[in-house]
Amino acid sequence: MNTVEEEVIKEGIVEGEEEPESERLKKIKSKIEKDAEERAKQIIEKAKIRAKEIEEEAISKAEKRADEIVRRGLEEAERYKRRKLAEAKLRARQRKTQAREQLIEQAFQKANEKLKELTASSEYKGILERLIQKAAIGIGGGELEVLVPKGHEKHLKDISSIAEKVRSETKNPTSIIVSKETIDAIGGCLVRKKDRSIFIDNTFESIMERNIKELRVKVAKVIF
Amino acid sequence: MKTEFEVNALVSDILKAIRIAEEQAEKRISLAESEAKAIENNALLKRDTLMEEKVSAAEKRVQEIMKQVEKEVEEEISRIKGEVEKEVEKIISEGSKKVDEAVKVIVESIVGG
Repeated sequence: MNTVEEEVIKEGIVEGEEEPESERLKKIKSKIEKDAEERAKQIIEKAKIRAKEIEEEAISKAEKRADEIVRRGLEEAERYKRRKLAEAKLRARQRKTQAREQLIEQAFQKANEKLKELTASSEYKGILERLIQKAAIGIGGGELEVLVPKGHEKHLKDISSIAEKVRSETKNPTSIIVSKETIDAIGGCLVRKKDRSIFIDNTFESIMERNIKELRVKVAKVIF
Repeated sequence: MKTEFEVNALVSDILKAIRIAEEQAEKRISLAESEAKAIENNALLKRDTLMEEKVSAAEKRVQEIMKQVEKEVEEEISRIKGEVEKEVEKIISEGSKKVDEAVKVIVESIVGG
């Protein structure tokens, strides 16, 4: 209470206002209480509004955060599913390829066995002569020597007739001798110039190796 | 008519009474401020709890989704495996019948080519 108010009170008392001091005091006290009550209510009301805002904001934020977590979870789950299924499909393809590869490999193994058997058959002589002739023609004739696996030289008693055919084909005087040197192969031959400047490897293995891609395609076409 | 002394005493009493009333008013406001602070703190606490609850529920939901997806994936992989094994069996069974034919092709290509 400042001095001005104090003076006002004093004047009221001195002038003998009709209203008794106790009544006036009661009114002042009541006014102070009322103002305080009003202010208190405002403070609490404001706090309640703020609390409501916090709550609403919290609900909104929490829902947003939860939605984000679920969204990311769904994305992760989708990625996981795609990755796992892609892996499984890849493994499935590999498994089928492996099975096909097995069959192709089996065919080549059997072919090797068949070729071995063939070297012991009556057909082999003709096959060997043809392979020598082809190689000799490929070289262009001339002075040639032929190398065969150990024991196969027995099929080459009439080598001069091959030389004659080569000469006829290449128009080049040709002589072929069977080398004492042998080769490590299932069958077939290696033909080279006597001076060893050129050679053609017509062993079964080399022919197979040279044509492996083409052969695999042919085999795949037959089997699948 | 009151003497000056009486007036001063009365004024003093009135001022004292007003001061008390004002002090009480201040206490009331202070109490209200504390209450307001408590309301806000409570709201903040509720906010944190709400966030924790929602996040926890969302994480649980994600775990359930993952479990479900893992189950689906497992089933699908099992189905793919079953299918591929059948296909492999068919490839081998049908292919084996044609291996001899393929052998002829290889041999012919080597000795005849």
